[in-house]
Amino acid sequence: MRFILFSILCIPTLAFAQFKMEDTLKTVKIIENTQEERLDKKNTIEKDVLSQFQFDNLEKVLAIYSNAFVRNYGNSNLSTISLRGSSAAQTQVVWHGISINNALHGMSDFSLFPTSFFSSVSIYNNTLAANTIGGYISLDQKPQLYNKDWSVSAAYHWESLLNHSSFLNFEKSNRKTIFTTQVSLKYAHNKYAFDNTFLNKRDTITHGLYKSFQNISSIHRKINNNDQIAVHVWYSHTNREIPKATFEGKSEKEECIKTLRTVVENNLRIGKYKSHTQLGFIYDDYTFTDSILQIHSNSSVNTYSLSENLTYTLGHEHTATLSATSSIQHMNTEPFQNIARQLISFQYKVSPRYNKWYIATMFQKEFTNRFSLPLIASLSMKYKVWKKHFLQASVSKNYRIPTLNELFYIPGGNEQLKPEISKNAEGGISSNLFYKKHLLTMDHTLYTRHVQDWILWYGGAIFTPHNIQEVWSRGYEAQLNYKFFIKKKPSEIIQEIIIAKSEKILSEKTIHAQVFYSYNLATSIKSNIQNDQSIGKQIPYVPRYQLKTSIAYQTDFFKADYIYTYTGYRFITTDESQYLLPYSQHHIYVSYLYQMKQYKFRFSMSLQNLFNRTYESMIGRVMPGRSIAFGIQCSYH
Amino acid sequence: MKKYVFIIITFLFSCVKDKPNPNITNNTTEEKQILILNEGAFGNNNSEISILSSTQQKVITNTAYANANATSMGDIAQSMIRIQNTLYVCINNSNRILALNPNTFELKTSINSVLLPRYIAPISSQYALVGTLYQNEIFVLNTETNNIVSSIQMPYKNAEAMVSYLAKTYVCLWDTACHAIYQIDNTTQKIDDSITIQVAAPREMLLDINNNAWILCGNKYQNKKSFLLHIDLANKQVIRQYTFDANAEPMRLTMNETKDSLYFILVNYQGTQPFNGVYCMSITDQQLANTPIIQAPNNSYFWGIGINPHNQHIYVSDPKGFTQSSTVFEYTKSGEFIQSFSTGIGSNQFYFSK
Repeated sequence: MRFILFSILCIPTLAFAQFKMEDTLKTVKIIENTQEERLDKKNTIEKDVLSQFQFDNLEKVLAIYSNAFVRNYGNSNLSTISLRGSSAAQTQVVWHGISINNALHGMSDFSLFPTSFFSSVSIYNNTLAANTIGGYISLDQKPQLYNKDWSVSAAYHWESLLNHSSFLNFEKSNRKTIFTTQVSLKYAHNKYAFDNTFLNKRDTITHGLYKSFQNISSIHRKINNNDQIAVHVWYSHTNREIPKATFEGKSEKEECIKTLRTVVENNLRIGKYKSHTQLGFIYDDYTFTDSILQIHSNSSVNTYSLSENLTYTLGHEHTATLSATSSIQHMNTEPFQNIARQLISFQYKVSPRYNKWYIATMFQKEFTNRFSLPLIASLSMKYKVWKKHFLQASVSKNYRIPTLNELFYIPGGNEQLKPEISKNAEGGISSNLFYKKHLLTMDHTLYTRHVQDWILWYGGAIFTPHNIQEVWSRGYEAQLNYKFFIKKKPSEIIQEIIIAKSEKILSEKTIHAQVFYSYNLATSIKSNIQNDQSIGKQIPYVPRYQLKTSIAYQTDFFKADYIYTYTGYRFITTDESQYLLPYSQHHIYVSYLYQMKQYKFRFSMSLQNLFNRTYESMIGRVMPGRSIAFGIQCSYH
Repeated sequence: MKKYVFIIITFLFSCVKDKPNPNITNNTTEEKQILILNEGAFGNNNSEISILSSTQQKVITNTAYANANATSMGDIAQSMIRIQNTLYVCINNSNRILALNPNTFELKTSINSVLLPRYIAPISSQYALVGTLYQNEIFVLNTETNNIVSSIQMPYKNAEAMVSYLAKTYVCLWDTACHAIYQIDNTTQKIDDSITIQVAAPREMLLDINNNAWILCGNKYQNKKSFLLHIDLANKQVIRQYTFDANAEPMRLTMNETKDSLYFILVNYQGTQPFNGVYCMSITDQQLANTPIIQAPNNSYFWGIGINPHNQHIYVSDPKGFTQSSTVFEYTKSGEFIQSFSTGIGSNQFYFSK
């Protein structure tokens, strides 16, 4: 009985687990530490969702399938996110275990991350990792199997905004080596008309050309069953024009963004010890030109990191991990400054498979050449109340150190800045209900986060960052997942889950509905400015309310999604004196898979902003109205 | 347990309504008015005009333009000037000059042919000059038709202050390569002379009671130290040169009604001391004022200053980082605080009705 119950609990995880795309059924192991993994994982966007958006960049996916708010400066333009009212630099984006936030400004631009590169995206709202006041997002690539195998696929996509994109995948593997590479090309005009209420006329976005070349490659080498080495390389080169805002007369702004990310990692297992060693190197180069303002600026930065994680496993229930990381961020352009960091952390997890308690704790101390940082810690607990109902709670203390630009930008950098310090707590209920052919998973979370010395850029002619605010974010988040298995009998579904067959079986003829709801109050509670009218007011560009829903019908060969999102008022000023109106959007995504022997053809169509609503994510940056897109992908395996 | 969760959720939901409070539309028919130009925050399209009542000692409205025209004014209102019966506002980042009815603030016309307009100076009953950023051009505006009729090529870019005196207009070109004040003939609308200065980047200029020019020069962020020059326009000689501290950034040179006292702001963007406040000096002083008559608030700085011609009161604005409504402080002539007002975003200029 327990075994069946446990299996039922695993349904959502398995449904979203990372499988190799196979047509033939293969038995795979149930993923280890399922319960423990769910201790801090809040939301994972899986391959079947990502595949509907494989021609888009990640900002579109996150705007729909998470509680994040995406601050979008226009189609194909800068897109940053806010988790629970965080600033963009407070959320880390992690790829193969290393942070890939730009070392200069600390942000990640999700319009530069092709969805097709990733097999899943996980959003962690709570803060169990360093420098992650606003949580972190893990970009995961497909796990590889050491089989003799190869596959190739190519895809092309056209969008009515005169946008084109394509990608090419190649994978080859044998018993010792796996090689994967993917190239993504985008050439987008982003041309669309809109009602310009400022100029009181029908206007057109014209200066919005986006050209991007990206390549992501990995080589995995199995030295023996206990020792594996992998090298990952991600190169990205993007040129894009920045269109004028509605209130600007003209724009000749352009930017060129070049990034090289490399990670070398080694996984070694000796008895009860596991060692994970990582060497990372990131090169970020940014050039901005504006021929009207006669600006041409270039900045680049190198980031080197080395980390070692040593994990000791005692039975199936206890793991202790000791981690040490050393990194340096060095500016290659003026003023040639750097930040060197060394941190050591200890994590301990207890995850008894059949007991009621699941506990994880972490302590961390970091030393830098610039700041004195506090010892931070976190504690997460999960308690099985009854059958498939869990209570979860966590508390943590965290920080974010100022970025290189915040400290040294010329003009305006402020070397007197202090790190932001946060105290966080959250609690919630998660439930999994399975009845006949219906599966419902629910997550309800209440949270509070208090950030001291919040860094805010402000100014007129010269922008300067200041530690001026104490911000209190609190709110409620809900995530509901409902699946109706149309054809299958409950016993078949359970049987399949126990055996954990391929994704294809689990997705056969289902109706799948998802709801994300968030209510977030993020208000400043203290300020060093005299007569500050922002006290008690919502911080800019953080909506209080967001609702995102999707309903999908899926068979082996066909998938149709209907998506609805609502975003509430967002304030432009800290005293709530000016704001943007709420907006809602409707989208339809349809895809069809046609298989002919070893060839697969996947046809896709999307209709975005179905009701042609005019809306702005950021002021003056009107997003596209209704648009249609078609795509085709051909695979050989 | 469910009960408690329900109570907590209900509590949270009942906290804040999503819809913000609407802006209050105010009466704009007050006779004695102080107009305040709010430049707005860069990229936020929120420049506006505030109206302050001199008699009632209160803000009548912070949205005079939107009240009259039901739309926003644009991005970065750099300056405003009343020429005859039109109030001109240069909207820098929206590349337009608004010609408004000065009583109702209704838009007469929008002049959209000038990139990055900064300041306007009348040179005759029919023409005014328009300075711009990043261009070696000054545009000539016909103030009767509100059309740009011609332009004047300048040796350097960034025409800022333009002051007319005896049928000539003296122009500051805020370019770090510029070491002169250029003289334009108001009739021919061409450069006919220049005054060489030893320092770079002249930016602001005013005439005192003796019709001598006071000129602020420098650009701290381009490594050009700031100076205040006192120039005799009659013989085109520098009378005195005042040197600011390397860390000081002076701006908003202002004269009192009798034109015998100078006021300026030193801005410290870090919001720290020193060199952060309003400074005052007589036109006969041999040295720059060392201490401010009004110290800027902690973690902030002043951005606009005006001297009320009726009572010599000093009005200064604290833009509060351009992220919220500014606070305008009113002080006596000697710097004693009287009262404060909440105005629009980034208040930068005061216009006192006669």
